[in-house]
Amino acid sequence: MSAEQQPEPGKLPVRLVIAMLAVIVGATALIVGLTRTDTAEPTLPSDAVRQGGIAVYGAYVREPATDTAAAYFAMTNVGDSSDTLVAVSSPVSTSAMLHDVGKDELNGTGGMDSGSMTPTPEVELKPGETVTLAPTAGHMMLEGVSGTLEPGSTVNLHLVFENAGTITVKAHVIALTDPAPTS
Amino acid sequence: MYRRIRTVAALLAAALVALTGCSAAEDSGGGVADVTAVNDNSAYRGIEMQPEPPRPEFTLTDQNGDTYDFGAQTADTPTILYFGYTHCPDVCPLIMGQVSSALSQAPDEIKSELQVVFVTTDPATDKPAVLGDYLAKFDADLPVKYIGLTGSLDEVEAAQEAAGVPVAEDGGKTHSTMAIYYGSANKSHVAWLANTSAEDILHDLPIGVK
Ligand SMILES: [Cu+2]
Repeated sequence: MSAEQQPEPGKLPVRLVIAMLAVIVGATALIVGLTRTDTAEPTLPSDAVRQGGIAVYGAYVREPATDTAAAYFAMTNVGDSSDTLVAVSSPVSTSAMLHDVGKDELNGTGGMDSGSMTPTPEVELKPGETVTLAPTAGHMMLEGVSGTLEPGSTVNLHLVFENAGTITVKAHVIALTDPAPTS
Repeated sequence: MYRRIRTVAALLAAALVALTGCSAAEDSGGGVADVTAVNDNSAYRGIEMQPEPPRPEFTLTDQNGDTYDFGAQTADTPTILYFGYTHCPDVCPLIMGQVSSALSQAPDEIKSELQVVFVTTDPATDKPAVLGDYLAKFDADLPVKYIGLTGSLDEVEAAQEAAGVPVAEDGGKTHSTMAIYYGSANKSHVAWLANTSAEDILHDLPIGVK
């Protein structure tokens, strides 16, 4: 962070915001994030696609308002050795990339109130580990989406793992005004 | 203080560290306990604004290419002000969609009056026509159409400063995620971060309307 910034008159009450965020983060800890959890005996949801030691589930895409969309899903290493997600793609977009969201500071405001997107080309999953992509915390960005993605339809997501190979999951398209699905 | 945080525990700890550091650096009252107590008693599910910021003044260009004086043209009107960019994949469509969902369910007296204003943080891309196409995705079923504003980079940055949000960086892609709700008395009582649900926004709309 750069030099300490003095609060200016007219600035929003940033300290309050940060405190609220602490509360919000605590309250939503279980559903938010590029969140890692360890589960010894994971019970996988019924939509889980399992291949090798990796299971992917809960995939959805929010209908984009432009040609840029975001896909969300969870992945669990159900095997007994580490594996790494090394590439992502989708036939509906010209490019795709994983982002960690909201982790960079914005002008010394404490870093929590920002839509920053940090490219995360590789995600390692240790045995038993789960990484969940969720709004305002992490997503797979789809750029150059061709045509419209109709709510109710599905799009394929290809996730390439070092050991498990390419896993294809069907992501449900939800409407712009739909709430974010919880698990 | 650049951080990449993956675990909830670390994230929460970081928030608390940031808070502590902030309090110490500013050498002012109102520590963790005080602020948390305010939150517990808040009537709002969003972030209660204390002190309450006044409706800001700035002039930009709307989606039709016309001059738009935000302070004058939204005066005395309940208004939701948000800064973002149309190609944002995540936080912008999320909060805009949740606001639209909340408004579609809001009482008629609010729905028929409330003005949503989206100010771009990426004016190089978001020309008036681009904003018009974008907002039409969100306001199609609502009686009051959204306003989209653009201008020079200096102008949109001045608007962010006027509203008291941190000025966007990285070509507008790293931006504040706060949707600020101004009531008819031209002060804001509450703001919502991008992950606030339509249900929570709907809850706060009638309380913050004055
Ligand atoms: Cu955004």
